[in-house]
Formats: sequence, structure tokens, C-alpha cells
Amino acid sequence: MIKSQRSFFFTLLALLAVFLTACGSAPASSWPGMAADADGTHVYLASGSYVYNVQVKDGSEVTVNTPDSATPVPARFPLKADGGKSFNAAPALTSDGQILIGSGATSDHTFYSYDPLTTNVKWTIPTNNSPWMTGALVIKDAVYAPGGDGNLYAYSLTGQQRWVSSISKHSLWSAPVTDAAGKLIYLVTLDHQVVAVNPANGKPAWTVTLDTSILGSPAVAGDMLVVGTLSGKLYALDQATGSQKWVSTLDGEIWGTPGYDGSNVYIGTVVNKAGKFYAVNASNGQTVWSKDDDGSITAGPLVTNDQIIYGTELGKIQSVDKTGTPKWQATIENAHMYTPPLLAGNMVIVAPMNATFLLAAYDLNGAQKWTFVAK
Amino acid sequence: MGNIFDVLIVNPFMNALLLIYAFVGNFGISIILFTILVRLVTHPLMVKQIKSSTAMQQLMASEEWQKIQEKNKGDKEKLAQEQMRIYSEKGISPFDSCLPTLIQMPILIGFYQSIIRAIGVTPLQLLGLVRTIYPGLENITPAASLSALIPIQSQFLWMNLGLPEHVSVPGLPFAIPVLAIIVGLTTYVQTKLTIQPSASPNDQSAQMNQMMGLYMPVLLFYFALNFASGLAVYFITSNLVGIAQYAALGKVNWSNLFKFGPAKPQPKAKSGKRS
Repeated sequence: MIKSQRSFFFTLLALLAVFLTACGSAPASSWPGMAADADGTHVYLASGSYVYNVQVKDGSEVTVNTPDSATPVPARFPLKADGGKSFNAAPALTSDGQILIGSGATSDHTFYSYDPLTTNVKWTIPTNNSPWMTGALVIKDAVYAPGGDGNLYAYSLTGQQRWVSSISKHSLWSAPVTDAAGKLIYLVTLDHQVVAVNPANGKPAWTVTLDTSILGSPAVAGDMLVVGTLSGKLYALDQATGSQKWVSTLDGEIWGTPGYDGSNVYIGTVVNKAGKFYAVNASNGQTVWSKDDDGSITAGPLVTNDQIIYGTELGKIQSVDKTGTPKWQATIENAHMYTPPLLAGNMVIVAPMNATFLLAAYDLNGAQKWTFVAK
Repeated sequence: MGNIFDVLIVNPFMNALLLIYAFVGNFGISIILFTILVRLVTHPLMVKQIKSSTAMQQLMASEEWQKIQEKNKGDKEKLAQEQMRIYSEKGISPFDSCLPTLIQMPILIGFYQSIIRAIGVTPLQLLGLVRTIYPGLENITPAASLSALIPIQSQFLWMNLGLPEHVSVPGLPFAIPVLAIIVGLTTYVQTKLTIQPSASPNDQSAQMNQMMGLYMPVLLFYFALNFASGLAVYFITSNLVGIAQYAALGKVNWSNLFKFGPAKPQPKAKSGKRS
């Protein structure tokens, strides 16, 4: 009897440990982030413990020679996972070849600049006690990094701090954007605000409070900013003043960054577990067309010259033309598409979650060209 | 299975937690209030468990029990038969003390998961959270609407409830995990205070209790060190309420607190029919 009680106790303890550990994993888990270099030859994928450097031509991983290995090793950052780092934000690329990304782990809160050719760290932004949840913005010779502590950090590209501006009481989850001239930086916050910041000194030029949390970055659409909220409202704001030009109420929640083609704004929504994709007239906010989808659409679309491509939570990649007519579609088994598709050269790159590979590349007719599996 | 568990336990708990949050406006206080509520709801189960354990302890300390142990030392089958006979005569079920624990476990695990999910520290977690908020919640109070709830104010005292807690002290090269230390201490104190005395200091039950007194604080310290501090708030509250519950039932064994051997044995009881 005593023995059975002891077995029972230890079984309970083991069960408790398994349940607690399984459900509260220490690293902050989220969908991957990615960015392509200016000439569209390399894609940098931030996924879990690494930032991968993948060649767009064939999906192979770039390698680097190290003193520790007789043969070249994958040029990942870091070269060896230490368990403390976790990367999920879209990396920022500078014109002088640096890759900038913050760690979203609960234990390592460092923002890194590294050289993709060697993976050596060039400089860091010191720990701010909060994970870096989103990507940074580079304008000319400065980087603007939104922190998990609600601050926007401005650094020179050599790692000198220029200013720190308090934006929100909450973690900043959306990457900042700027207008064509780089006059203002625009950020959105979970506490319902759109903030325009002067890049020279970090002082807010204007702040607008919307109805609900904003999760996607603003889209720059001509002289407007277009932002969607969790309540499904799509707002068009004047870039210079923040004044509202129009608001459109869509069905479902808006999670992503809208796309813009010069006349229409494109955005998908989350309607419980289904989704809806909209084309909205940028001049007046009227819906031009909409399409129901079986899967939720959390990520913003990719807008090319003649097609709009979006991913769904059911692993589908859908391409439509500007009238909403389907052009092609592809489905990745059991995968979820939460990361916006990316155009690198003439390839559409997607980063599915829960797939057997980390990246897939399609040509503009929807033919899969390669997949990337981390070895 | 995971879905059924979510629908039956995790989601109702998470919505209850969010509703409390909508009223009090502080997620740390919501965790504390909800922990107290869950402990009170499961209190009858705990009382039943204590009664069953006490009855078992008394039975094992009885002369009759000791005699059959001695008499059937070499015959395990006969010993088991005799034990079952005594259980039957006394109206004691050896599993009575386990059953309430079994019922409490999914509740506690579900509560733990509901805290993790409600905090929603990444977009992926927030997506899951938004989908499991009951649409009718905002009919109870407008403060429970999606626009009012999100983002959850995860700051409580000096800590962000969605992140592990550490306090940096000027001059020290490392941060101190204050909350994890408090979790370890309160778990140790609770375990020591609430362990029931065993029939004999050398029996396996006493050894098991002693191991539990060591392992549980270490295990929960580890969780508090690495996971969201909202969980540490839950562990501490749960430990303190647990001590209060045992104290209210007169079952706190204060003499065990600074005693580092097995719990003090009870005087041998005369066996009798369980009331």
C-alpha cells in the first residue's frame, strides 16, 4: 500500500511537471519573421534559435568558414544555438551590410547587429529587461528599434545611442514605418494609439487614439497612413497631422499590415477560424471587393505589379489579380501562414509554421521552386 | 483530449479570470482573487482528503495493523488479504485520500494554463486568447469587451506578469529572483506545516513526505524562475491560502517547521470503527 502511495505521489509529481512545462515554455513563441536584401538574392529568416541566411536562387543556406571547423558551416546567427536567444522578428538590413535583430527570448533581451558574412556581432543594444518582439526600421544612418519595454530606441549604425523615446506602457509589437522622405516615424501600440515620432529627436509629432488594439504596422498609402484594429476598423489618417480621412468597418479582426497598390488598400481579417480578404478604395474607404476564405488571414498581403498574394491559417497561399479573380493557389499540408509573404527577386517566399520546412519559394505563376529545411 | 480539457476547464477558467480582471483592472490582483476562489471551491475535496489521510494514518498506527504486519511478514498475499479485511471492517478505502487529489489536479493544471493563456505575451498567444474569450462576457460588464480587455495590463507591483521576475540590485553582477525564492520558501513552509505525522519515523510514508518536502519547493522554485511571474503569484497565493485552510481545520503541524527529520510519530491509537 505504501509503495503504491509512493508511486502515486511520484506519478502526480511527474504529471504536474510535464503539464506545467509543456504549457509554459520559457522562450516566447511566435511566428517567424523574414526579410530579403535589396537585390533579392538572400532571405534572412528569424525562426526560433537562429537567423538563417538562405540563397533565393536555390534555397541553399549560405556557409561560412570558422576556425572551429574544417568544413564550412551554415552562416546562421548565432553559429551555435545557446538556448537563451529566440528570434521571431523580421530582421532589418542596413545599406552597409549589417543585419539588425533583437532577441525575443525571456532570458536574452539583447538587440544585435551582426555581419552576415561572418556572423560576428558588431554591436548590441544593452538589455532592457523585455523581449524584442518586432523588427527595426533603418533610415539612412540610423536604426529605430521598438522595444518590449514600450520604448523606441534610436541608434547610429555604429551602435551609438541617439535617443530613447517612451511610446507605450506595453510592449511594442509592430515594426515602425516611415514616409517616402523619412520625415516621420510611425508606430502603433497595443493600447490603441498611432504615434508619429520625429526621427531627429524622438519627440512625438502627433498621437491618435483609435478604438482597439493595433497589431499590424501602418501602411504608407500616398499621403495617408492606413491602419487596422482588432475590432475590424480600417482607418486612413493624414501622415502629417494624424487627422482621420475615413474609416471602414470590416468583418472580423485586423491583425496584419495592409497592402497598397496606388489605388486600393488590401487587407485580410480573422473571422473566428475563417477569414475574409478585402480590397478597399484608398480614396474613400469603400469596399471594392471582398472574398471569404476558410482560413483566418492574420498576415498582411504581398502586393506585386499584377497580383496580390496572401496566406491563411490553413496553410493556403492565395494569389488574386486586382479585381479579386484567383490567379493561383498553393497549400502547405498542416501548416499555418502567419508571416507575410515576401518578394525576393522574382520569387515569392513564404515562411509557414508547423510545416516540414522553414521556407518555400514559388515563382509568380505559383510553381514551387524550392523548400528550405534547416539541417 | 486537449480540446475537451480546454473547453471544459481552461477556457471557463480563463474567462472567469478575465471577468475578475475586468472588474478590478489589475491582473495580479485578479490572479490572487481567482486563486483564492479556486482554493475555496476545492476546499471540500481537500477536507475529504485530509480526513481520509488521517484515518489511514490512525489505522496504520493501530495495534491491529502492526500485528498483521508482523504476523504476515513473509507472506505478501496473506498480508494484502488481511489489509483488505481491515479496510473493509473499518470502512476505509485506501483510495479515498487519492481521489480528491486526482480531482483537484486537472483543476489546478487548468488554472495554471488559463493564467498563461490570459497573459498572452506574443501575437500567437494573443490570437489564441482572442478566440477563447466568450462573446457574452461584455454583456456582464463593458470592461470585459475585447477593446477594453486587450491589452492586458500585465504590470503588477515591480514585475511584468508575462515575464520571469528578477530584481537587479546595484553593485551585484546578477539579478535576484525574489519571487522564485518566495515561491520556494512558501512551498517549503506549506509542505512542512501540512504533512501529517506518520505512524513510524522509519516507514516509507515518512520518507515519502520528507522527499516531498524537498522536491516540491525545488520544482516550484524552478518553474517560478523560468516562467511568467504571473505563475509565481499564483504559486505563492495558493501556498498561503493552503496554509490558512489547514490552519482553519486545525491540521497545521507547527512543530514540523524547523524539524528536518521525518514528521513526529503519532501515539499509537486504539483501533475502532471509523465514524
